[in-house]
Amino acid sequence: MKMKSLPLVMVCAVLGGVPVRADLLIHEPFDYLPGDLTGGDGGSGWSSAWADSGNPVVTAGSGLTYTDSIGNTLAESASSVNTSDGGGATTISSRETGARDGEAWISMLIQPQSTATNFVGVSFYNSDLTLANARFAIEHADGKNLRLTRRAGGQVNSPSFTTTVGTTVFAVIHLVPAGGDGESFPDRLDVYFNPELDFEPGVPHASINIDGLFYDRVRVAAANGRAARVDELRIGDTYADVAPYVPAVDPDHDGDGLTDSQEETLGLDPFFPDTGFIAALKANPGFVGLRSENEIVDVRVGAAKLVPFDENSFDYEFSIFTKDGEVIETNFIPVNKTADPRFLRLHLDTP
Amino acid sequence: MTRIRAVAAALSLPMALPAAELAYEPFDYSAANPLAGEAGGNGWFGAWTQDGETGAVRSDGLNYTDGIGNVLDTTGLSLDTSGSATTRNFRDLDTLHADVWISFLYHLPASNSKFEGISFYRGATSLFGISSSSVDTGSNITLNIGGGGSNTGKGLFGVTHFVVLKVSSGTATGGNDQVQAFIDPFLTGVPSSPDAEGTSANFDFNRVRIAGQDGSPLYIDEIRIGATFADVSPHSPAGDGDSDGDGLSDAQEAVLGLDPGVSDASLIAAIQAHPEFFDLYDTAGILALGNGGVVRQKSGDAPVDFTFEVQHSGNLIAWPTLETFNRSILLPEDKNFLRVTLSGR
Repeated sequence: MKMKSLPLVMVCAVLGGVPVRADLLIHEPFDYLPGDLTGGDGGSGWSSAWADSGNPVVTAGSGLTYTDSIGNTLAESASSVNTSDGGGATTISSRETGARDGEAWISMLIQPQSTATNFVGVSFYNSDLTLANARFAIEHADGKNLRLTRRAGGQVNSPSFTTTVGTTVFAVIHLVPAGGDGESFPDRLDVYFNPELDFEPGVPHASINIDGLFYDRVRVAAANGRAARVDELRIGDTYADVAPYVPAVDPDHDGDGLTDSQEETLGLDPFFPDTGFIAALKANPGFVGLRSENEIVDVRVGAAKLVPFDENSFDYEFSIFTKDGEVIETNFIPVNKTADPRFLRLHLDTP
Repeated sequence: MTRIRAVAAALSLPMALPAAELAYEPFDYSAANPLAGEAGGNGWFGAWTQDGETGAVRSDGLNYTDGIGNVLDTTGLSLDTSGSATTRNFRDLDTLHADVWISFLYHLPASNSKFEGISFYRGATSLFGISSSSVDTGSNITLNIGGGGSNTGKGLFGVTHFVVLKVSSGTATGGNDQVQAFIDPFLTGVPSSPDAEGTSANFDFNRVRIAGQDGSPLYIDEIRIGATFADVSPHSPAGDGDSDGDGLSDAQEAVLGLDPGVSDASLIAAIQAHPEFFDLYDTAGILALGNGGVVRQKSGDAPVDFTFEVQHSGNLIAWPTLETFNRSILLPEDKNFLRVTLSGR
């Protein structure tokens, strides 16, 4: 275990990495009334309203939320889109971003709704929605999991990112000019899944080289009515632009279950996880004279009730149970004739 | 059906809850005897049987001393799975076990690519086990769940390892059962960081198998099944020194991963001042967890007493006592408090 050696404020300064904000270029919070997305022209920075290719995705329900591992919460609005409109037909909606090229950060929230293997994804195209002009996408990886896919110049898939149906994923793509192999694919796409919000992420989940970072439209689509929810599509110059957040009240930067302020109180380093120590202490609280709820045995005394014994007399009955409902003892006690037994109750008399 | 009426308030024998060591096999048999047919130890139903060849009793037992000098209690000899063909020995337990700790000594003498291991069954179904790898010649110990294996990353040829399995019911995702494997934990504290773990719908078991593929050798000794880690790790302590004088013994600091040469007095004081950071309590805090009932503390090994009344009424206003009942519960060794609540059931 590492004890704290620097004041918290100084540690933050040394680590640096607090993202610099420039401009949020494009934002789509999907803040529309329930129904087809077609015609929706909200958000900011777009060149057109949402269009469809015959059957659009729909705006429905509440917005998606994302809280990172230290408790920061992504800023979001009140609604989202669902790629399923309730039918079994393929849904396609698209919106033009204007011609874009060069370095950029793109973020979105995606929540898989099933383990089906039909296509679902958020894709970036240039000129039109033909396969020949598909550039890259965040899409399903043959089921509920997600991946980054490059389609321009031949399809290349990143390793899949494991997801849970019904749990929102914060997906971020960094478009890096001249970050590729310098020849056939001179540029690079980095993808991050569920990064922390208050620091520009370091090591990506995966990187894929690509020839050119241009695109001019976004497509949200799903085959055969497959459901996934999408929200908070952002394009910006910096990570901070696409990851605006409400800071955690008391974050847990090292993710060990103790908040930063708790670690300060204990004299521990809030940036160094104490997971093993915490687990060992919880398993052995007696070492420091403390107690655990695991030391408690629960028993319940069941309700007293009258039951007939024979034609002329009654018993009252009660039982003692373990926590799991196993009967330890059952008693049938003859009713005292002098008592008025119309109502019975149990009372704990143990001090 | 005739119902037996109890004599009110007269029952005072303590009611016992599940206790301590549930099964033990020290292999306290004659050297060179075939294991099949032996029926020592306790907590078992019947003798060891064989399916194929049988393993045999070795001429000495295995021993284990942890990293800080605590020595596991051992008796008897040990088992060798060596044979001219595959050896498989089964033994039934006297009941179905869940929510238990298991321990045994495991010694793989040499490299091979065969399966040697100890497995836990429910009837004819293999549930989980510990083995060497049969896909390579390495020495790593593997936790097997069904058809899959999880490498603990630990295990050496020619070294006796203390293997501990914690079997928990319904604690994993989706209410599944969980088994956690700890290799060579310290004997003085409850281990908390497993070297491998796995889940399945139902790990309740009532049978043990020890096997050596093609007669390959594995030595096994001191199989214990108990309700707590302490039940399966009886030991002679190395001593209770406290080198840094901070109130934690060197052995306790080893379990916690602290440096026994550097005082943690301020950390201990801070933890004691803020037990809630760890979901822990001081004694007063535990006694306050009545949840509408009462919490009573155990004193020594004595049963915990509690009292309740049955009250009666004809008008729902006055509630005189109809009968008073005194009861006692004998708690398991690792439990120190009894919580009694009233139920509407």
